[in-house]
Amino acid sequence: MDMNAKFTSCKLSTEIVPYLYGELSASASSTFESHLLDCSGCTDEFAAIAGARYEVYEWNQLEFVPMPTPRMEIPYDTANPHTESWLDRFRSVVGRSWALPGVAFAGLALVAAFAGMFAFSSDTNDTASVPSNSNLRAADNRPTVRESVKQPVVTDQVVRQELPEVHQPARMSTVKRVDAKRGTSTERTISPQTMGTRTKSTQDQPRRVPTLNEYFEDEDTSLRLAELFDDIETSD
Amino acid sequence: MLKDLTDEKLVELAVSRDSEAFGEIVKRWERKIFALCFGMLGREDDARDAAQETFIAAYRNVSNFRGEAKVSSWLHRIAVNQCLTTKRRAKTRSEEFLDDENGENERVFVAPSHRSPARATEQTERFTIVRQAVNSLPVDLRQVIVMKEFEDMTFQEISDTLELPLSTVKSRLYTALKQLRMKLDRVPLEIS
Repeated sequence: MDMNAKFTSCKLSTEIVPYLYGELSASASSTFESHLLDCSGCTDEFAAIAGARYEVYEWNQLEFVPMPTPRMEIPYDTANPHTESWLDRFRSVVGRSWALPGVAFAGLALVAAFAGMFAFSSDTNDTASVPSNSNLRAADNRPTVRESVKQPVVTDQVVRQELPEVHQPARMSTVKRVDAKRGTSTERTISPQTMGTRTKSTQDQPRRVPTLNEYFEDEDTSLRLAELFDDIETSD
Repeated sequence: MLKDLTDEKLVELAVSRDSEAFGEIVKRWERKIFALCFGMLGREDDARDAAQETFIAAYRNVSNFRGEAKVSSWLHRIAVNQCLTTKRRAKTRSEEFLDDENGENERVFVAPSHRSPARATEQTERFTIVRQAVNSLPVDLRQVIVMKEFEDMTFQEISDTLELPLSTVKSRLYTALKQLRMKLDRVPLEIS
């Protein structure tokens, strides 16, 4: 006999097992019962399956069912995993030694300190690192002015002896004017208040100052060429 | 010796009203017929009555046996007829046998109240054989039998638990019972 037995060729042979265990509907059961009367193959097959099933069934009923259910004894007092404190659990995670958490804490403190120092130094440098547009124009002229200072002035230019930085506190600036034609030079001190003078071309337009790193208009002490030209007295 | 004769030979003798010959047939097939009846009726007492009626009807109609089929098939057919008759009687008497929606009256097993020591020993030996046969099944077949017989799970519950299609569960149980049958047939099991 084939050990890997499959259902017989009869199409209703698949109903044998469900019928045997009472899991067919009433109508399906009736159909299968009628089929058993006509199909000897299914009848023999049903008898064989039912015989094997009853052996197991009886074994279960007479040997296993009468067995008393064993009582489960659980040592709740000693086997409770929730009795350890939070400190014990923390120690179990990081280990018994306190060296590791101590080193970790010290490392975090050092990192925090460096981060704070970097952030503080970044605050002071940022104001100088982003010059305003007018400062950029002045800075562009700086080499020319310096060259003119070092060398004899050929053109009528405003010579700056000193250009205050943006971040520096407001102070008086000295402007030296050189008249190339006459060969004379004059010096003039410009106060921070006059530096805020606008040119005619920009009078109607609101002046925009950089707002990075809390650089306010009131603190703008930079010297602007446009303002200097306004102050230049030209006389023939 | 009657034990050495084939079923067909015994039937021939039974036709000539040899009651001992028919008795040998009863002894060979009564457990299997009883199991068939239990499979159809689901109740031990009804199954015993149906099996009794089966052999009575077979003895009455033994002369009608023409030898075209096997004796076992002949007895099976008589048993099926008898079980269906029992069911129709139950329906006619309005017994809650098939219409029991709660299933309280189905699958009732009544353990024998009186067992002699010899019979108890015989039963223990049979259980050992059955246990060994079940344990020798492949794991996938064994677990289906255990879940169905010992845990009394439905096919759908087994299907959900094992995450198998319903048809696969039924097929595995069928295969398991077939293999069990072949293993048990190698060892003659006397009826209790």
